Amino acid sequence: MGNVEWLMGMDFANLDYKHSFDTFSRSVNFTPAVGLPYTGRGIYDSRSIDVQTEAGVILADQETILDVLEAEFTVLPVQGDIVEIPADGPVPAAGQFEIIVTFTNTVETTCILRKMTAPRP
Amino acid sequence: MTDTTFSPFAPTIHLHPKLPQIAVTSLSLPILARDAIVTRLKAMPFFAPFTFTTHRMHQIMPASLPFCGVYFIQEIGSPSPEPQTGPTEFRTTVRYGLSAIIENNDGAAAEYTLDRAYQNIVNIYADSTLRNNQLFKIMSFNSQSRQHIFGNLGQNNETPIAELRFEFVADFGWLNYPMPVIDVLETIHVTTDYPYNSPGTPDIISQYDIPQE
Repeated sequence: MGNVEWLMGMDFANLDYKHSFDTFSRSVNFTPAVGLPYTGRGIYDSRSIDVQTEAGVILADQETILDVLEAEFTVLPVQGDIVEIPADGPVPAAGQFEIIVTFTNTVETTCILRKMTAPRP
Repeated sequence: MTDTTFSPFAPTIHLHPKLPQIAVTSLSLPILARDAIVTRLKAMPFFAPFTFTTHRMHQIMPASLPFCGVYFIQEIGSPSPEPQTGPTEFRTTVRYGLSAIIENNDGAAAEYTLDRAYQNIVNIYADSTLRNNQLFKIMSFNSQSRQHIFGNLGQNNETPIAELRFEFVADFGWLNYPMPVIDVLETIHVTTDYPYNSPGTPDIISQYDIPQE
């Protein structure tokens, strides 16, 4: 008799993601483009990214994301919402960002963030 | 005569000691012109807050925004109508690249700022001191291109940047590389063997030393 594979759905949100969020998430204030501000939690991450400019010159920037657990939100953050990431204990504030795009794996939504800065010049 | 001795027809490279060494007394004209363009841009009030560079080795950090790079991209020497005559000369055009990077979360406002940058930059076309300069002479500006770029390809970079990419081609006219004609004849050696191969008759050997300056 051959091997039998038993397939069943897993509750990834509670069995996996929730523990990650309990460990790594921080408090985040959301200001939607439409609607009232609210507070949630998310996992902030940032990594280096190269931006190629004229004549191949590199501008060394960062790609910054915020992951949120969809089950914790009645209305999910969307493109254009403003995200404020305040200080979290000894971790300094990350600042204010605009959500420029989101994507989902049906359990977790990833928001790609653009920093809110004063115009220069 | 062996291959190791001098012969004007021997397939060896020979630089006569009388030929002058190539003297490098200055930067080349396209680089002098680039630096002159940078000086003029820096003097414009619009560019006062900008950080400038002229070389492409520098990696730009967001902290140095707004940023302006003025780059020498390519020099092209087009052929002379009669390349076989006279000194080497090329119709020389140079492509420069100019990058003005600003920061603004408002894309529409950012584009207006890039447009102002462009309108400041094109003032160099009207600057007669670039045409009739003591160091170089730009005959004309032959072409230009401009683009407005917002962030990287995926537009997922954190800093809200917008870049004016402006390239223009300057014509430096005919640049020639003078070929000094040096008289390298110092000695004429003449051997007369008459009658030919006659054992009893010595050769007559004459040597003429040419007066040197």
